[in-house]
Amino acid sequence: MTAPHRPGLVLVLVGAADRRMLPALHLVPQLDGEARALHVAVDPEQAAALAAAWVQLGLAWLPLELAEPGGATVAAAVRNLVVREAAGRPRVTVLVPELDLRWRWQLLLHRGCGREIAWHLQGLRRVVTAVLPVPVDLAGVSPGSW
Amino acid sequence: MLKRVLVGRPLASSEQEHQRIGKLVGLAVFSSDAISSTAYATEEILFVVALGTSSLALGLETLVPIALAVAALLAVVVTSYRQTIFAYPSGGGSYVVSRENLGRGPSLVAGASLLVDYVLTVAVSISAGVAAIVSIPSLRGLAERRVALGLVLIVLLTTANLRGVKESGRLFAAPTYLYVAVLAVLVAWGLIESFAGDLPRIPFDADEFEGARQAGGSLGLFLVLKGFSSGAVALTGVEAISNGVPAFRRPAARNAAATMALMGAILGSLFFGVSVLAHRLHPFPSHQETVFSQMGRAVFGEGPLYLVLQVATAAILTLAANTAYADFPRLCSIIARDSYLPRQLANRGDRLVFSNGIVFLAVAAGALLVAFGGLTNALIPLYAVGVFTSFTLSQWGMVRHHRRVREPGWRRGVAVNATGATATGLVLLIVASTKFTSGAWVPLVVVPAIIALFLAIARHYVSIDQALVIEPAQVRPEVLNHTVVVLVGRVHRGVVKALQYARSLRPNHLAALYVSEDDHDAAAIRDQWRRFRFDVPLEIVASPYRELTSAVEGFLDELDRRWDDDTVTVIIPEFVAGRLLSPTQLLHNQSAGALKLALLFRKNTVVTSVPFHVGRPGPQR
Repeated sequence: MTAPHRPGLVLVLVGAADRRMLPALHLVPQLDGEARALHVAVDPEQAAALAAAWVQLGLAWLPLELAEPGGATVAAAVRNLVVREAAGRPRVTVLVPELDLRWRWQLLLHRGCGREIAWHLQGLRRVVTAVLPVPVDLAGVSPGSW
Repeated sequence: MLKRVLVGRPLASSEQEHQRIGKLVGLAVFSSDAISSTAYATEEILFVVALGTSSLALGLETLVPIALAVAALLAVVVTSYRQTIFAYPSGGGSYVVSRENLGRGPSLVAGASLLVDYVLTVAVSISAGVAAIVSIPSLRGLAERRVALGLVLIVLLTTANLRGVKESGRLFAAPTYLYVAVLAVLVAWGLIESFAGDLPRIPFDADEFEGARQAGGSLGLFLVLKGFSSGAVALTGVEAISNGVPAFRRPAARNAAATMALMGAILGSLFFGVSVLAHRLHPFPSHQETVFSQMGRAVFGEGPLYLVLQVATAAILTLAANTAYADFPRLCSIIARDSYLPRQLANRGDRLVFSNGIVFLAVAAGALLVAFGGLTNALIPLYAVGVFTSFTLSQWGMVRHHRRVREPGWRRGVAVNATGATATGLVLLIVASTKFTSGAWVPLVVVPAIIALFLAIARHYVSIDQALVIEPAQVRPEVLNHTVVVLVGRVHRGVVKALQYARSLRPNHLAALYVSEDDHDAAAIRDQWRRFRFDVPLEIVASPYRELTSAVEGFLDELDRRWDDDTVTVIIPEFVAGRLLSPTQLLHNQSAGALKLALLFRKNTVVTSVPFHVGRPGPQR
C-alpha cells in the first residue's frame, strides 16, 4: 500500500444556496485538510444559480466544485467522485446535510437525498461520512398567500 | 440483483432520447384505454335506453343517433386536443393548459380529476380483465380469488412499466392491435353480411334479457340524455396522448398529434360501427352474456375467430390500465414540480421512468381493488365526471390561449375549442345530473379533498423554502462549541481509528461511550481501556435490557444538559467486511445501523461513520 501523497479532504455537499449549508460551513474550520464544497449539477440552471449565489454570499474561502453526474444518480455521482478523491489521501470527510423536520410524516415530502448519499458512501476506505441535521423551524414562517 | 432481473440494467440520462416511442407503439401505449371502451360503450347505452319504461326495439332505434352524437363529440374533443398538443408540447394536458390560462384553482381541479381517473382506470380495467379471465369455463374456479388475481396483474403491469415506456409499449402493442384488427373484421363482416341479408337477427331470449319488454314502451328525454352520458364513457382516455407528448419521438408534437388523429379515427369508426351492427343484429343487454359476445357469436359462430375476439377483448380491457401507467406518473411529476405533490414523484428512476409515480399508482389501484373485493364496476360512473371536467377546463383554457397568443389561424382555434368546451361542459352537466345518485357525487367529495392535500403540500414547501433563506452574515465561519462522543462496542482497531478521527476534530469535549449489560461487563471494558492507555475518558451507561439506542439517546440528553453545545457529533466505528449487504456485514452492523437511523432524527446531532476495514486492502468497491 502506498503512503498518502495528498492531504486529507473535507467535502461539503451542497444542493442549493440555503440554510442547509450552515452546519457544514460552521464545522469545516474544525476539520483538518483541504476543504471544498461539492454540487452535483443535475440541473445546469440550478448549478449556475448556486455558483452566482456562492459569490454573493462571500463564500470564496470555500471553493465550490460543480460535478457533472455523467448519467448517474446524485448519490452514485457523489460516490464515484469520493472514491476518486480518496485515492492517495489519508482521509476524505464528507459532510452531508439533511433536513431535521419536526414531524416524521414531513419526511414523506422530501427526497432524503442526504440519507441516500450517506448510504452509498458506507464502507468506503478512508472515507468518513457525517450526516448533519439542519433544524427547520416553521413556527414563525408564514407561507403568505398559500 | 432481483431488481435488475425484473426491471433491467440502469439507463444513463443520455439514453433518454432512445427511450422515446414512435407512433405505432405510442398508439398502443396511450390509446388502449380509449380503444378498450369500444368493448362496453354500446352496451352501456343499451343498458339505459332499452330497459325500464322503454323496450329493446325502442332502445335500438335510439342507439344509432346517440352513437352518432358521441362520435361527433369525440371528433370535436380530438380536434381540440390536437391543438393542445401543438400549443403545449411539453405535455401535461388539461393540468398544464388550465394552469397556464385559467389559473391555479382550475388547474388543480383538472389535475386532481385526472389523477383520480387514472387510479380508477387501473382498478376498473384490472377488475374487467379478471372478470373476463374467470369467465373462461376452465378458469371459473379462480372467481373466488379475483382480488389476488387482480393484484398479480397489477404487479405484472407495474413491473413491465418500471422497465420503461418503450419496453412496456412493445410488450403490450400486440394485444392492442390484435383487438383492433379482430373488431374491425367483426364490424365489417357483420355489416356486409347483415346488409346482404345473410345474417339473421340474434334470437331474443326473454329469460336472459334484463329489460321488461321487447317492443313498445316509451323513452323520455331524461333517459335519452342518460344513455348519451353512458355512451360518453367511450371518450375516457382520449386526453392521454396530450399528457404524454414528450414520450414521442421527435418531432414529438407532430407524432403525438398524428397518433391522436389515428386513435380518434379508430375509436370513432369502431364505436359507431359496433353500434350500427347492434342496431342491425338486435343483441339485448344481459348480465349473462355481453352484447359484444352475442354479436361475436352471431357473426363468427363459436369458432376460433370468436375465441380470438373474446381473448383480445379480455386483453384490451386489462391493458387499458397501461395507459394510466404511462400518464399518471408523468402527470404526477409535473404536479410535483409545481410543489403540489411530494418531490420524489418528480424524479426519474434508473430506467428513466417516473418509478415512484408508477409504484404510487399501483398501490392506490391495488387498495381500491381490495376495498371493493375485486368488483369495481360500481366505480365506472365516477369516471365520466372527472374526464369531462378535465376536458372542459382544457378546452376553455385553449380558448384563452388562442385569444392571448393570437397565432396565425387563432380565430379558427377559438371556434374549435369553444365548441369543444361547450359540448363537453354540457355533457358534464348531463352526466352529473343523470348519474348523481349512481356515484357521480363521489368526485365532488374526493376531488376537493385531493385539492386540499395539494395546497397543504405546497404550503409546506413554501414554508420550508422561506425558513431556509440564508443571509451573507450567517455563512461566515464561526467557532462551535463542539462535543464528540465515540461509541465503543469493544476495543479493536476500529475504535483506535475512530478516536484518532475524533481528536482531529479538536472538540471542546471528547468522550468514549460504552453501553454495558451488567457490572461484570462494565468492569471488563474499564480494564481494557486502562490497559490500552487511551487518553479519552470512557463513560459507561448501564442498560440491563441491552437497549442500545435508548441508552445512547439518554446519554446524549444528559450531555445536552451538562454542556451548552451547539453540536454533538456521534462517531460510530463501522466494521466493514465484504460487500455492503453481505451476511457478515449485516451481522456486525445490525445494532449500529438501527442506532444510526435513530440518531439521524435527533436534533443538533451529527452522525459520523468511520469505516474500519477487515481483511486485505484492495480497491474501493
